[in-house]
Formats: sequence, C-alpha cells, structure tokens
Amino acid sequence: MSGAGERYLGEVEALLGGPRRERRRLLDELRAHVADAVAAGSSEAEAVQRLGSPGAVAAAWQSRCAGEAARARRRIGACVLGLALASGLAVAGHADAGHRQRPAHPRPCVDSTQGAGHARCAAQPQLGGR
Amino acid sequence: MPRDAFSGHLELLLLAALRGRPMHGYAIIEHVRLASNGQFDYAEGTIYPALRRLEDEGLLRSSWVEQDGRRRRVYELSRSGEQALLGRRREWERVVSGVSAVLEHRPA
Repeated sequence: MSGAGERYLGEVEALLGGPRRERRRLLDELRAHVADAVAAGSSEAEAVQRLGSPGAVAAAWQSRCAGEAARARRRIGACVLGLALASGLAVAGHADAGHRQRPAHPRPCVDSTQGAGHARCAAQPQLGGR
Repeated sequence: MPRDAFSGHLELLLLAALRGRPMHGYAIIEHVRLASNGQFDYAEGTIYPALRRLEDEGLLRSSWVEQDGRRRRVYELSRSGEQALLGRRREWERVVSGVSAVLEHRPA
C-alpha cells in the first residue's frame, strides 16, 4: 500500500483504544480491504475515501470496545456471584455434615434398651467378681 | 434514504449477508450494496467493528485465510448466529408491519 493508505491507517491507529493485538487486527483488516478494492478496480485514494473518516471508524471501534467491556463486567459479576453461591453452599453443606456427625442429644454410653449396648456392658469384666 | 435511518439494522444485514456462505469484509460490503441496489452504502471501515461485535457475541466465527496471495479475515455464521438471524428477522418484520399499518391507517 502506498502513501495515502498508510497515512489513513496511521490516522485511524492514533485514534484507536483497546489492546494492541485487537487494534492490529482491525488495521490488518482495513489494509486487506483496501487491497481488495484496488484489485477490484478502485484507486487507493477512492478505496480509502470509502472506508469513511478515521474518526468514524474509531467511533465504531470504541462502541464495540464499550460493549465488550460491559460483557466482561457481566462475566466477572457472574463469576463473583457463582463463587459466592458455591462458597455459601459449601459452608452450609459442611455445617449440615457436622450436625449429622454430632447429634444434638448424644446417646448414652450405656443404653439398656439397645441390645448392642447392653451386650457391650454385659461383656465388661466384672470387677470384684470371683 | 438517510444513512442513519437503518444504521441500527446493520448487524441484521451482516448476519443475512453471511447466511449460507463465509465471506471476507470487502465481499460482505459488496454483497450488501448489490443486494440492496445501492440503498445501503455504509462507511466501509465501520463494518469491521460491527463484525467484531457480532463475533464477540458468539454469532460469528472468523479466521485469516490466504486467497490469491492475500490474507483476508473470513467470517461465517455460528449456530447461535443462525438462530439470532431468525429472531432478528422476525423482529424486523414486526417493525415493518407495524410501521406499514400506521402509514396506511386512515381515520374514519
């Protein structure tokens, strides 16, 4: 691409925000677009003119970046909410498990109504026996 | 037709242009211009941020492809894009129908 095209791309680049890689991609696409227009019979100056003013392209780009930033904020919000819910569920699950392991009314060591407890007690050595 | 009148529908036109076949930016713009008989003549550089926005939303996919010794970014509709096109088309038809009804309404 000759002077007019490169000058135009330089003006657009100066107005763009956002990550370098993203800006580079837009500039590469604009460059390819001019090459296609020239291959189709336009002059480079005409192709550049049809792209619109650098300000118009940059404004459309900024609008896209704003949309992307809003989406990123929503994603982060959803992640934070998800983490909070997961933490809450984990804490609740842990507390519930603790309740099940430690009953509110512990069974007495010796329970004459239960055979096993009675048997255990019965199996205990009788001190002071024979 | 004023350019701004349909600027909100640029995304619909881009999705429709990509229905059925992948295209690069210049081909998309030519398609829209020819299919609309020159009614839609956008500042061509503004198409790329719009394509990118649609890609951000998961409605398009794109990749660099080498054709005729030149690299071009080729876009295609994703499955979500096909569904979005159907939905937006229905929405557009409702708008057209509503506007037409108002335009044709004559008070008794």
